[in-house]
Amino acid sequence: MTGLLFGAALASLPLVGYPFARLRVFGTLTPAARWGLASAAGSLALCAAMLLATVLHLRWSVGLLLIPSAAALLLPGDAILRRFRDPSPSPSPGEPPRAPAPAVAGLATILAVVAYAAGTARATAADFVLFWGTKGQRFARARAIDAAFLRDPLHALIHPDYPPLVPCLYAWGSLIAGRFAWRTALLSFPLFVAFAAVTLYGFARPALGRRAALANACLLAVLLGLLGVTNMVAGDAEPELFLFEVLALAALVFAGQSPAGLAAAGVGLAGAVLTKIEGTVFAVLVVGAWAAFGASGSKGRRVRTAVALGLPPAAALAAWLLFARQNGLLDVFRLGARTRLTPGELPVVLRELVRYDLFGPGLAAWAVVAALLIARRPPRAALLPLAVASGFFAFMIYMYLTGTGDPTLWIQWSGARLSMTPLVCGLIASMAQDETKSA
Amino acid sequence: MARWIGVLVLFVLLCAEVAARGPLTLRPPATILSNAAKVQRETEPFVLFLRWVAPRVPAGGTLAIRTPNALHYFVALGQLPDQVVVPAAGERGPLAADDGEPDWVACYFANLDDPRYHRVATYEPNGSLYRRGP
Repeated sequence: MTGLLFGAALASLPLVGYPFARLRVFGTLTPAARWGLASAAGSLALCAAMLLATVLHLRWSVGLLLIPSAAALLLPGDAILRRFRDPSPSPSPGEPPRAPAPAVAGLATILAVVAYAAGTARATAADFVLFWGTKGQRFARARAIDAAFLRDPLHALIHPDYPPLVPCLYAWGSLIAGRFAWRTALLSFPLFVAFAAVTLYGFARPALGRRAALANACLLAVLLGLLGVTNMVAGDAEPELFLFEVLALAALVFAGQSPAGLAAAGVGLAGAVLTKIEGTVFAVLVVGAWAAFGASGSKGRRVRTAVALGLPPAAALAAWLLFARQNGLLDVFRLGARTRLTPGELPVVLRELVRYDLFGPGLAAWAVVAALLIARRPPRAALLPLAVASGFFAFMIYMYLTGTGDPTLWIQWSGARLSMTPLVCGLIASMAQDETKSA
Repeated sequence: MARWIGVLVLFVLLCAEVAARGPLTLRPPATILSNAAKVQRETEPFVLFLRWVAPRVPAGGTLAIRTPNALHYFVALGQLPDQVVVPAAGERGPLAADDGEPDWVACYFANLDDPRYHRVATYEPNGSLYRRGP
């Protein structure tokens, strides 16, 4: 029963985020895009509410944490409990009126295999057992972000200032279920892969059509599923990060010229920042790439929209860093453990990255994405995700060149996992269209 | 069509990876590490040991974990949420002064030779549980 309730709590995240997705600003998005956005917004809203409640010394309860969602229902938007209207143009001739059943069955099969892998403990992340699950459990028991637990010098190894979103979601599940459910938490991997696939389908559908959008959603799901199993990410924060990354990129590539797309991308970037430290790097790269290649129009408009896009992640990061600073948690974000750049290690870093990433289990995934990218001349819209992918690679190399000690072990541990982000960027770049219609 | 070929290739690899990780059965695994990669699977016996310890130590009791692997303390923190888990240094002899006087000590691939504690249970093949008191 505990497991069922815990799973239901995580699966209910789109309902928690529904009041935000129903807002008028998102009215130009497809229903699938709005439900994908709702899953991200629900996660983000819970994390924000938990952080704010901790700052205000209010003990968490389910009712308290749902206040932001309830408040959003008061804002102008679609009628409550009404199905989202599909505002995109009527399907062109030959376009099926609904998503083709075989493709939907294909997506369901992929997700079922990923769920089986996670549920039978085939993809359990080491860090889930060491700290992600433990933190969530502790937070739920303390009914707060347990700063005393995080600050304890004995717990320095579990990164006191690491972004809190995933432990907060686990705490949410624990509050509903009454206890943390270790086995069920592993299913957050297929769940968030499903959210990401729905999100991509929803944003890509107006531009690509149902068949192509669904094929891409299947490709994303199987790519994340395969690499998630080989890189052992179940219970880790990667699945949540991929949802936010897919939301941000898909919203910008397919709907970036509309307020809805920009606002949805802002939600994705804010979520990424609160999920993993790499999420902050991703957000900085996306905002920079958007200023350079993304927005159409004058330079002034590009800068304005880039600043607007950067505000949500900047606010999220500032809130977390302020909390961490006030509670004596600053550690990784202090960047004190970085040593000086050691360019002499570059050949080692490149060799090991190629060895553990390109020629590891990810070879087939890289081959598929590369083949799709070179099969046609990339349109201008592909520059944004490609720039983010390049920047992320550069960050990875910089990170391994400034770590302490031999980078080999570190790359072996994290290289293939980290490079899933550039792969997602490459996949979305391969789908970009020259003239994208608004999603 | 190219994308569906990509889906098919990656799906076959996914199924192969899943099949290679462990027996294909609908029975729940013994632990959350049962079919994980080798590095993670090495922690599984310790998780089973903690499962043996859990019902023997009352909720709220202070439990020191003595094991040669420093990371095991973090595993115990998560797997024993009802007890107050603390680490204990060393692998044999008495508890160090820094370790205080926990109510219980669980030794895994380690021993305890401390007159303040007596053994209350043995976990075959490599664990034991001690309680403070005569």
